Amino acid sequence: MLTKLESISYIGIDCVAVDVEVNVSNYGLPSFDIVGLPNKEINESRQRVKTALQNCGIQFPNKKITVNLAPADLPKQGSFYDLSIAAGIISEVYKLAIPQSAVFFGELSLDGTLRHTRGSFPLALYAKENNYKFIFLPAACSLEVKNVPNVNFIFLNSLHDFISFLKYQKKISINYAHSSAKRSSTIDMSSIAGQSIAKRCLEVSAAGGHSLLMYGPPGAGKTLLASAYATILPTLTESQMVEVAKIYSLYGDQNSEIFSGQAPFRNPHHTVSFSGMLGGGNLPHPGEITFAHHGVLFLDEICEFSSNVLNCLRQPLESGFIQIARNQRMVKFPSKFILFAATNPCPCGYYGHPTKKCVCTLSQIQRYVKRLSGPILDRIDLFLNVTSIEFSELVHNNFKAETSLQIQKRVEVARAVQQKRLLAYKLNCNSEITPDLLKKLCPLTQITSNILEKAYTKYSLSTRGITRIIKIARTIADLELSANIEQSHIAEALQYRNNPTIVG
Amino acid sequence: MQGKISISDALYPHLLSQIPDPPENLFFKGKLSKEIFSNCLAIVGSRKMTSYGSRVVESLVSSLAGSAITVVSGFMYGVDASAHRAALKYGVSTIAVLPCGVDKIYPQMHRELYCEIQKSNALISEFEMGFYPTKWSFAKRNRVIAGICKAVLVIEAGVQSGALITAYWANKFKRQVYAIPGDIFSEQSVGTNQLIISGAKAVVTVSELSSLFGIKLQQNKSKYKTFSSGEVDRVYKLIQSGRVSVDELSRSALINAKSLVSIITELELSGAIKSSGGYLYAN
Repeated sequence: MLTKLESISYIGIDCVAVDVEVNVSNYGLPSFDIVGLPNKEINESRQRVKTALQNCGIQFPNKKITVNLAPADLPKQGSFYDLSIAAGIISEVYKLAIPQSAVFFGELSLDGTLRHTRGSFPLALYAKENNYKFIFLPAACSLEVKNVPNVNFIFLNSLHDFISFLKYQKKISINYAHSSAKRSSTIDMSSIAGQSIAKRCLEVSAAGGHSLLMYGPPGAGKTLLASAYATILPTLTESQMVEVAKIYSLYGDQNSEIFSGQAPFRNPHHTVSFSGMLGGGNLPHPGEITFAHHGVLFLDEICEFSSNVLNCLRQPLESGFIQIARNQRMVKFPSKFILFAATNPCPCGYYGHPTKKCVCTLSQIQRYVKRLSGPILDRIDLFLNVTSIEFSELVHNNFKAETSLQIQKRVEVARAVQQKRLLAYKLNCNSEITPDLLKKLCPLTQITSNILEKAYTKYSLSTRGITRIIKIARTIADLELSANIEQSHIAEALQYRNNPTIVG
Repeated sequence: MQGKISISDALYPHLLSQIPDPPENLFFKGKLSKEIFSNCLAIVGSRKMTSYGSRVVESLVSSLAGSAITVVSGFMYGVDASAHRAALKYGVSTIAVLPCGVDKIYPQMHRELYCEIQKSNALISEFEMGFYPTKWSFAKRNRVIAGICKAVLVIEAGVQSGALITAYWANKFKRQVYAIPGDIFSEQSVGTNQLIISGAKAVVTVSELSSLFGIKLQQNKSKYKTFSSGEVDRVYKLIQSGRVSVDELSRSALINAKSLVSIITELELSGAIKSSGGYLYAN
């Protein structure tokens, strides 16, 4: 007898419908086969399903069982077909009808319980879009999908729950564990002594989504500032969270911070490969830039990264997505992120240091700095020279440092102002303003354009440099809730320009 | 224009012909004249110039503007290149003495400087066209620098700087050696401070060079500026009292970061201060 069930398959982070046809036949030798381009884990599903059913006390039919995953020409992967296959067999064994408009998803354990399975969030969205009436999935996935409203989830702890649902329409109740929105193991801004300019620069960066390059000697506090940066990022908006959660649910670690609206903060090591950074693989898997979507990609020691890998960032930085073409398929992953980089000024780190000795030759220094190509530097808005703080500053700090929460509040207010202004243009923050919109969105008064003109000649800025300054000034104005860009905003923005004597 | 002058030519620098083993021929690119060789001052120093060195070069060379002095240097990066650049900027004649044939641009990154110099100044070399720089040719080049100059001024030098070789030749040829005193803790001032200890004249302002060249030279005085706002003035005074990082300034001036950075821009744009490597200096 043939049972038809519905499940899905993933292409990139999108779902497509897959029919799971389970045929239990009285004719032929007893066997259990899966067809329809299954990969290794789907083939192994036979062992899991068979053992799980037996361990649940369900008589596994000693018949010829054929499972077809349709469409047959689409390569499939993932362990989540276990539930649909098992459901097909259970319906055959107990002669229970499978409800109409139901989608099945979940990996089985050998004892018949359902394990947490990757990809429940995109599935939930897909089911909602396509108005499925029943969504069967593991109870362990409940936390991930709890923010998807108006969907009839049937959470299952084990195959027993499934059978009792079929028999008595009984649903188990889920107790959502309380998830706090707090990021684990981070450093609060208030615990960093001095560095007032650096902190201010980070605030501007977070508020306007501006990319940032920090340079300075080792031990000046660059990495420390970076970890504190994560704490002042604005919370994701609803739509941003959906995009990010899709990626993390399917490919990431089960990171509850992401599902509670925290912006991702990725910190790849400098030995990262092309495909590690951009995504890749036979069946394409996203890379670091996609995991940093709507968040931050922090490249510590950016000059140590392979310059090829760095140059590959140019296109995604511009377009906000990455298209990966492989033999089997082409996949598009979103990758809108704030590039946040840190570097030493030279291999030993002390070039330009007022007291410490730099042991690099000049050609070494040039080679080191040149790894940051012009086009990459061109895409960086803010340049920040981090100097090591004096001992006296560590000890006698008169200023009461602000906490991350205080800064984050200002950042979020400034973001809200931007989002209101940019809504009509489908943009999210000031850094995304295109040159053609600049005049309209960031008008300058006579006084401000005068100071900009003065700076243009004094610092020999490029036209792109001017555009950058205006956008940064707009963010600074937004932080102060000022409707117009004032002279002081331009003046502050000018301090974050690239000082070509150091880099580039 | 390019060509060659031999020791018998009238254009051949007189001072150079006096040294024990003057080069037979000098190859040149650019414009040569009798005058350009008559008042030569070598400005040499470390390849790894610090911001101190760059300030010294800028300030000294700007004071030479309008005088008949020619700035001679070795076209290397660091002090050499910035001496050439400052000379071009302030309209002071300059000669680059290369360790290779004058048709070779070495280092390559100075292509732009090379073109600028040959427009109205000169690049010279004792090596034939097409000669590639080698280790020994740098030291030999320094001999020519010392030879054509009345005096050698060392801006910054580390322990093993080539500028010290130039100073050695200058001493040998009985030329005056000047050195800029530097921070005793700075690696790039060890050589210059050592030169002063062993008899080089310390130079603090350009007027120290006056008697040697028989020209009255005066240091461009840094004008004390006053600013309308009390806060700006206070920040300016703090920067004037010595090198300071933006962070230190924020602490000592008790001004929050965001107002301080816009004050710094105002001071920078008015030309009162300069920032380099995260530190601020008064002009």
